[in-house]
Amino acid sequence: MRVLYLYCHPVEESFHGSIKTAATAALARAGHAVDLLDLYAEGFEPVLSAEGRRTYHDESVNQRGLEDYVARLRAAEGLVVQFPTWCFGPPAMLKGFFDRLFMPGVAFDISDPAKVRPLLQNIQKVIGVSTYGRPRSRAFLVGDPPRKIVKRYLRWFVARTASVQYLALYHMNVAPEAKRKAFIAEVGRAMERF
Amino acid sequence: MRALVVHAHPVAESFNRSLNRHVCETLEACGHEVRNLDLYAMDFAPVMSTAERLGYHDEGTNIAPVREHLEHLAWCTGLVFVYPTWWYAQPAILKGWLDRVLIPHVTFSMPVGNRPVQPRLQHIGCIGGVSTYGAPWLWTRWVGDPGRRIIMRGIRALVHPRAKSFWAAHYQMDSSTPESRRAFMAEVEKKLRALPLEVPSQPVRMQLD
Repeated sequence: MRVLYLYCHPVEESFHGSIKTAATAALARAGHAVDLLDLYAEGFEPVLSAEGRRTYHDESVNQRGLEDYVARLRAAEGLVVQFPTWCFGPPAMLKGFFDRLFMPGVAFDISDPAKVRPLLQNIQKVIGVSTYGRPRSRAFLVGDPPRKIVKRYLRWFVARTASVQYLALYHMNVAPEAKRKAFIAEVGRAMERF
Repeated sequence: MRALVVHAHPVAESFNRSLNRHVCETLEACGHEVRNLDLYAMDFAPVMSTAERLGYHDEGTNIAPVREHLEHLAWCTGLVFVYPTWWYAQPAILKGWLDRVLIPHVTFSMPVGNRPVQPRLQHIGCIGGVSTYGAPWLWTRWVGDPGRRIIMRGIRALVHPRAKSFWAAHYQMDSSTPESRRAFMAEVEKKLRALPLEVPSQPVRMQLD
């Protein structure tokens, strides 16, 4: 399977860097072709500009400057999204990827506004991977936005039969080394079964 | 109260920009002091850089990259957000403001032993938001309304325990009408006019020096 690995973390030597290394290696071992989209490394610009907002609904021009990302989204058969939870949600960098790329003609068809259709049916499987500084009880009180963004928001766009999985490590602020290692192993196993 | 109105919409002639003006003018007309932070106009950089992330937990020095914004936070006793809900949450430029400005040791304390995170914004006695949504109410509920909950539960927990709060939402903006927009403006005004001049407030705990 061709897997788009959407990755968002600014520090290469971080825990997230280790997860990414293990996960992409596991995907490759399982025979998948990995397209790593490292938003920080690629210098993605997450802010939807005034011009971008004005032409957002105009499918003849709204992909301008984003053609490469659109092509990669369309080529994907599987999608992994990996990010830390900052201030209860995905970092601005990743939020901006959705703001800018999930546009009419790419992620959904709004030609009949009464019946908006999803357009990323090429994606057959989704795995979300996130970490939280705070305990799960706290995330629950806020409605756990990262989990819902993967399991409910992203699910809508992809193939109806797609499996959508979410792997989370809560309470990173106090997580001992063993727990972190176990999480990397868990992510690796999930990727090997992708 | 001293209200910090944080706004994020790129288009000058947008309905959202009118809402921002309306919120500021209504608050001023009620006798509140207002500061308006227009994140697009000030070209706010929402991406937390590698260096900033590495220094995020360093007490004292983590203030430098966002000092100006922390000073606004320390000044205000009311915090109001005006923005379009894009994909169920804040636009990246506003999400980045939250990511970068709500830093540990200043706006909350890190957990020590069994003592969990402690809030440090108890001088803020009012928190609220005005937002426009493309999605209908039901879909927004299904996805959990992350944008509203990040503010009304997440950040709410950092401010005064008896803080006044309000939320105003216009759903299905793509099929809005002049009447629905006028009605929404009126709803927003009513909610703002209901706020007391003096809100609950404790001494400022944020330490910026």
